[in-house]
Amino acid sequence: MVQRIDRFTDLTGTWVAWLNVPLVLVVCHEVVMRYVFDAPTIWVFDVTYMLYAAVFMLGSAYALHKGAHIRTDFFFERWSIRTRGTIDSVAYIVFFFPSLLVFLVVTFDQALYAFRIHEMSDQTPWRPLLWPFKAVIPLTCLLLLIQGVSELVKSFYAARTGVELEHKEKVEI
Amino acid sequence: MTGQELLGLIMLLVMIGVIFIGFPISFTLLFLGLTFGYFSFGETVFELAYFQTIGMMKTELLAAVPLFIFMGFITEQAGLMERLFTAFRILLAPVRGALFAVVILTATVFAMATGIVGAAVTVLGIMASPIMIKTGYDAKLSAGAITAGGTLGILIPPSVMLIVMGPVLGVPVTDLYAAAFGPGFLLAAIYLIYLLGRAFVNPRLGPPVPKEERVHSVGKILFEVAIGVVPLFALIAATLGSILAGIATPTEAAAVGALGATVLAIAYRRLTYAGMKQAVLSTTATASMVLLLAVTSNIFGAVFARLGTANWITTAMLALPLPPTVMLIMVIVLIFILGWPFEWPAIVLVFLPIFYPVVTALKFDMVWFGALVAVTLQTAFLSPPVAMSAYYLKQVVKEWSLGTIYKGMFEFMILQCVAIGIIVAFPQVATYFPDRLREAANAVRVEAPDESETGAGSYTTQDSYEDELRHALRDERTAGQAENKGEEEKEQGDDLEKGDMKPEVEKKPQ
Repeated sequence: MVQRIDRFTDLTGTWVAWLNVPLVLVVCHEVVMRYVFDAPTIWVFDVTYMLYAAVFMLGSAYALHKGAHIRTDFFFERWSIRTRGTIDSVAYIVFFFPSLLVFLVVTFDQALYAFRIHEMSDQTPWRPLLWPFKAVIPLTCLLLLIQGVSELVKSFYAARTGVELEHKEKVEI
Repeated sequence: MTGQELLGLIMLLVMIGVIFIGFPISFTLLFLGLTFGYFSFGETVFELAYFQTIGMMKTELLAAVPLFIFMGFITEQAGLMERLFTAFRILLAPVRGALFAVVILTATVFAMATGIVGAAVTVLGIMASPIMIKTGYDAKLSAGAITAGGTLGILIPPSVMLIVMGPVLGVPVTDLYAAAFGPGFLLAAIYLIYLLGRAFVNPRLGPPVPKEERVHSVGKILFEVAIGVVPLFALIAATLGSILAGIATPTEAAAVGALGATVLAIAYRRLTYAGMKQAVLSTTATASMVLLLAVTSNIFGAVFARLGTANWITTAMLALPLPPTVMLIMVIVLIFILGWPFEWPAIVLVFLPIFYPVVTALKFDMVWFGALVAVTLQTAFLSPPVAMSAYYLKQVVKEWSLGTIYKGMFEFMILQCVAIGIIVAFPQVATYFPDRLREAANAVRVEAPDESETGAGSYTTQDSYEDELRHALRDERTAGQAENKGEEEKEQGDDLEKGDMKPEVEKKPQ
């Protein structure tokens, strides 16, 4: 179960991560069009923020899997694996799941509404449909919740047995 | 103090207490924001949270964060740092303490190509430490040089920290970048003088490279420099130059830089599919961490702001009978202390917005303040016992004990404090460059037909002290909203800058 979730997050995380490449290319395309051909496009601005938002929002579940979300390890590092597991288990149940579930419901409604009324962006004359962009938030919550289950099981296991199922390295910042 | 303000204060204290326990800060903030918000103003909090999230997702400026991180990872993959290191080593071989200078110079140049710290310390540790150990360099000084040099990445543009800090302080990122150059190079110079001075007085600390290992043919030296240093310098000049000249937005420059780094990696035949995949994955993890924290801290900040506690704190702090400079030093010391337990994203995104109204009310130049905070946080990277850079270095260099690394870092922390002192005493170190850029932009604006005010300079000038004070104390001028305002202003500033700068580019030939 845990392995399956982790593999799922790895896979979706990799898809999301490749979005970085189109992000680079799209912005470079705009740079070339504007500064070389003096013909700025109307769609790049929207596509840029949409890609960037998709990368960091949808990537957050992958980041959770990799232990990238920073903790205050001032005390955390000195505690035993068992204590850490207990803290994480409690925090996942009390903090993580309730707030993300609520946020999922709220933002899903917003995205659904945007879909129903065919809401369009008013930031640029290109006016793309907004619902896929807005759907990113509930999707992020969903991915985080799925990965959260795996993390909860892992921390629960650590709390019970004092053995880490996987060790997470600190991310480079 | 009203009930809501009290609730906000409780919220702040609970937050500080809870994030110390060690659960990922992003989720803690989301939970606390939603819970306290729901208590105080019901379901409105969900809309508030939703709009904060969408707002962050629409901030095109922050697209520069993943792009600059990506550029850094690719540059690392391309082995550019190794080439830089080799080239500098050949050049500086006869000097006493050569390797110290090589480490600092490599780190400084590499800092201009990457926005984060981790890579620099790790790569420098892998490359420099074996040679330093073999040639009998002093372990403490070597470890200090590597960690201190490596942390310059967080200060010298294109620092990701400064991009995130821009909207928080309501100043253009371009100005912050310009302001960070002075302190960054000042620090590099201080390190160099200190290290070379020590090596000169006592050559045993850092002997020159042995004669038989030096390269004597001038052709070979020139070749290494041409192939290892020149392309990277060109990339850096194109990326940072276009931002500072106001030609490109940070996002555009970052994308071009990322593409340029990829092209360089292909040219050096160092780009593989696996490497590329690793780069995009690492980029996603790091960018996601910083930006999700930005989202959740904005939600937290918005609730906090609505409760009105930010104003209360500002009023309370301003009521203290202290001169502004002392207040400023207090704020800086506080940030430094916070830098011990917290990483920079937490400080810049969670705590800086709380100090923001106070510093605004004290009428300090925000750009200068930003540079000062950046140096302070870089110092925090070097402060034992929980310094990130020590952790990175220890991972790759097993020969040096953590104690040795800490002792080495401590010497450099003192140098950092000297630098902070210099920047406080002589603000020109930070403000000279952005002021010149602004003057250049203003000069063009006067000539230009449209007389639109605002732009880069308008945040800091003219407003009288009382005006700013009133601004800061007005009800809606609360931390969270101020943040949003900053972002809007930034966007407008960007557009105007672009508009305003064009004439300059066209006028130059005349």
